Amino acid sequence: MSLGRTGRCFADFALGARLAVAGGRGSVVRLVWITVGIGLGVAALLVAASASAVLNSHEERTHARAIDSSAIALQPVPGVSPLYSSYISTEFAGRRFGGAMLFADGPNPPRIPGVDVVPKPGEVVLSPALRDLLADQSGELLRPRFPQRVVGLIGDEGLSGPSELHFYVGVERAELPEGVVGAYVVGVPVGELYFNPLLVLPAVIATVVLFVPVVVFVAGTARLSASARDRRLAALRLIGADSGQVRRIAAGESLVGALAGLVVGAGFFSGGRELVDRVSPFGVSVFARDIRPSIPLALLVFAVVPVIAVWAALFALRSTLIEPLGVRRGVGGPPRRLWWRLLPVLAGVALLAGQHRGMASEARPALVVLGVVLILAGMPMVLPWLLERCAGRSRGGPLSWQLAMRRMEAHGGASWRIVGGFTALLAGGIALQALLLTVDPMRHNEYLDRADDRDRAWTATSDAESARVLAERLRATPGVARVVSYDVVYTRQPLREFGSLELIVAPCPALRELTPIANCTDGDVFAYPDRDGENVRVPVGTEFALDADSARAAQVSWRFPEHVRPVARPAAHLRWIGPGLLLTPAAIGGAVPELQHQVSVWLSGHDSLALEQIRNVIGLTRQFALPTLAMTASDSERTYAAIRGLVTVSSAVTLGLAAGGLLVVAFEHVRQRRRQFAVLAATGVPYSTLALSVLWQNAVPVLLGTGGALVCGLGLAVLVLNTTPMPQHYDWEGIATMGVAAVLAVLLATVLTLPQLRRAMRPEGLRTE
Amino acid sequence: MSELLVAKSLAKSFGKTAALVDASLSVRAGELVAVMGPSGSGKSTLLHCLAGILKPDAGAVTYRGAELSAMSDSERSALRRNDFGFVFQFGQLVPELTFLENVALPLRLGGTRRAEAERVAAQWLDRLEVADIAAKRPGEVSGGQGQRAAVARALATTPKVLFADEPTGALDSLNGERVLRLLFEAAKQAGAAVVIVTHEPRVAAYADREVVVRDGRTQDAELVA
Repeated sequence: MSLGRTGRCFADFALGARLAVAGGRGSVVRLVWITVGIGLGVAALLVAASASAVLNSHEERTHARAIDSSAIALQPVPGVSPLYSSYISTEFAGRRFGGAMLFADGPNPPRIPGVDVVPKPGEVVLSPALRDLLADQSGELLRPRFPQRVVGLIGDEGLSGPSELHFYVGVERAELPEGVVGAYVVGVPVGELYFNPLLVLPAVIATVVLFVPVVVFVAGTARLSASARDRRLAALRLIGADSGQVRRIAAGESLVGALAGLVVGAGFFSGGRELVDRVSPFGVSVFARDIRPSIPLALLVFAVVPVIAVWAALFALRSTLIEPLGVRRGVGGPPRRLWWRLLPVLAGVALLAGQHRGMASEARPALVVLGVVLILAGMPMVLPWLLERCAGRSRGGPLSWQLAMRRMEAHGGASWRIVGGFTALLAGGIALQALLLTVDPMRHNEYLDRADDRDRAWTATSDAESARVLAERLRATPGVARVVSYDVVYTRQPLREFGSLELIVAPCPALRELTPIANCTDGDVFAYPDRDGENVRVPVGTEFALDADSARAAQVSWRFPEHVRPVARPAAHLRWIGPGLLLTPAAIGGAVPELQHQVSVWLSGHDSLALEQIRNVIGLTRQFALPTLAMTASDSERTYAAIRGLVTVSSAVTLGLAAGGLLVVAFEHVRQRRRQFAVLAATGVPYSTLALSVLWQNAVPVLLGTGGALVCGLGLAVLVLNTTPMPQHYDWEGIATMGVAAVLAVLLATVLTLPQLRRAMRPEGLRTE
Repeated sequence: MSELLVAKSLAKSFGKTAALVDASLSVRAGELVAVMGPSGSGKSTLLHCLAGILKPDAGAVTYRGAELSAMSDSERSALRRNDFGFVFQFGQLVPELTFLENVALPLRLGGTRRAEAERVAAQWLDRLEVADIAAKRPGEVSGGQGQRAAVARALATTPKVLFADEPTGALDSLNGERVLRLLFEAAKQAGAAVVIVTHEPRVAAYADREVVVRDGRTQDAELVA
């Protein structure tokens, strides 16, 4: 009736598994906490493993609906009528979205994915999300832009995500811009994915920042309640378990949490995936079916997580000699050594420092990421040493402090394992927020952060008469305070040393609306500085080529005039950061470039509705640039905001888990030491002293971790930002928020422990029988 | 009776503190030996050395002629698993497991299948008159019941030697008496020798032989032949 060698090994694992789930409510709470923690980590890893599929599906569908004007698309196809189109976009309530004007020149145009019938003039096909928005009260101000009859909905195959706002408007051929040609094929091949270089580094670092704590967390939770486990193992050693069996039992015990975490993580992932069809987390609209983890990566996750858990459990045993009479820690030398703990951090610092813009010609993202990984993974290793040193050297203080310090000196590891993941995330979060703030384009427009810019919108057109008519109509629009119409032209750069200049051409009254000018007559020229206050210094007579649109070839030459008078920087500079000139019409002389006619509108106060009214006046299909507020976030800014939001939410979740872990550790601590607490209470130690000692035990690791994270995060930010040439910004508000949240987590964990502490202090705790 | 376990001139120190100086003892099969002495005299250390839990600094312990110090960790573990049983004052039961699982544990560690191990465990719980606590966990029953379950676990593998270190130290006299009676009866029926460390004189009444340890030295006094 005996098992063979292999069978005994499995029996050992099974016994470990049994120990993990046995033990009543305390064990169940511990297991649930470990499972949820690992589950969240697994879900996050599976989401990351799905990123490629999401991006590819998104690209495939957006490419499949693209109406191209390439030679292939224009090649007539027998039986297919040409489809004329022009892309248009609009913005509503901070969301920018687009569609196309369509004209089918025949009964059988090429099929657009998700669209059953090409809308005829006066008809529109909407995405379901746009239909819902228009039907909703919140979309009331958008409805005037879609007066057409809705003849259908765009199917999923024609949308990038379930909440995408998209439309196809049927128009007459004459309403399309000149030069539009008919296409016989819809869809273009998917090329290589384009990634905004400014987004790549933050995105990769965000991934690292989010996943290093996952690994630290999985390792930490697997070692939760290590002291209780060690006692169990010692009891097993007494009755004859050898060291190999002890390791297998410990591994089996850790494996349960890891495997349960995998199952729960897969559940979180599946459940969360279904939710994304209904909600758009961080403004990201993705179809649930697109979130498919790469099979190799998913297998890797399912293999690596249990391995990490088991490795962590066995690693914890390396300095612990489980003997029949109990546990001896720190076997084989001093308990914690600094040098090997510092190695990853130092290597990371060296890597990042090597990428300093003064040392490396171009920062290599892979090395930067590796440096970040090393620092974030290394930091949780250094901090236990720091805690041990701090606790070991703390000799004074009140009794509650001394009790906490001595306890941490002996058994501080459990708290550290809980705090480690949070600390790594916080450090990474600080660095990432700094990086995002630094590269965030919105930051480069911070000089616009003035009341007059906040309430100003603008639009542009190439048709002077349209601009004049528009200005008149806008003046009659509710919520509009004033309207200024002017022309803009930019210098091309034959003389590169001067960079580009913006030339604003308007009569004196209009120029006075833009900036204070004392004396102005037609023929005058005024110069305004760049955003840093530097005035343009160009020799008189310097010749420039002018073009209203920098994308087109320069056609008109112009010489820098005499008698240029300095004026203040006008409020017409949305995102133009350079210097420029204000010219009265006579000053531009014979040079008649293709001017861009701009209309700036000042709203009366912070009236966001007025902006929508303006957009409605301009309409959807008119040939005006998308009217936007000076302070409106661009798409990339929204992406930065989404990443920052993700990091904030992840920090909050990890902090919540850390608080839960602290609570588990605190409960276990009180349970294990209830006899000692009862003895201390019996000898007259007041409740407040013991309660404070619990508070210190929770607070010191968290506060040291937060402090370490702050130092490490800011150091990391400096190192990473030094690989870019940009001025640096730090999210002090976010740092303060996380610090306050950490303190609250400590207080919450302590307060919830107090009832158990009070019970432990009762005289019944003194009884042995 | 032949000598089963022999300790000769054992010495063991913990740092600068000498726990055993010159301790010798022999245990014959089926014999009940009481190791007595004041607190700190070294009697628990002697028991741990006899069981192969501690390695003596000097001297030797032989079990059936084999020296324990020469054995590997696995061999000594197998010895504890198969030939020795232990009853201590505290901490020898795994608090997460039920009493049935605890008693079955040494059998399962030895490779016995779970069902068989639990069948044997149930029999032993019954013999020790604690069958009703089989599904309970340590902490949910009285100390006396817990110690009887610990005796059941120690005897479940039918050991040759049962080591007991102050098994009734945390019990009231009535429960202590009951545990001792059951321990000795069960050990006798199983044919196991018992080495019991105690400082309670009433235990000597059960013993075949009493060994007194004082300042790390043994004084053997054959009470009953």
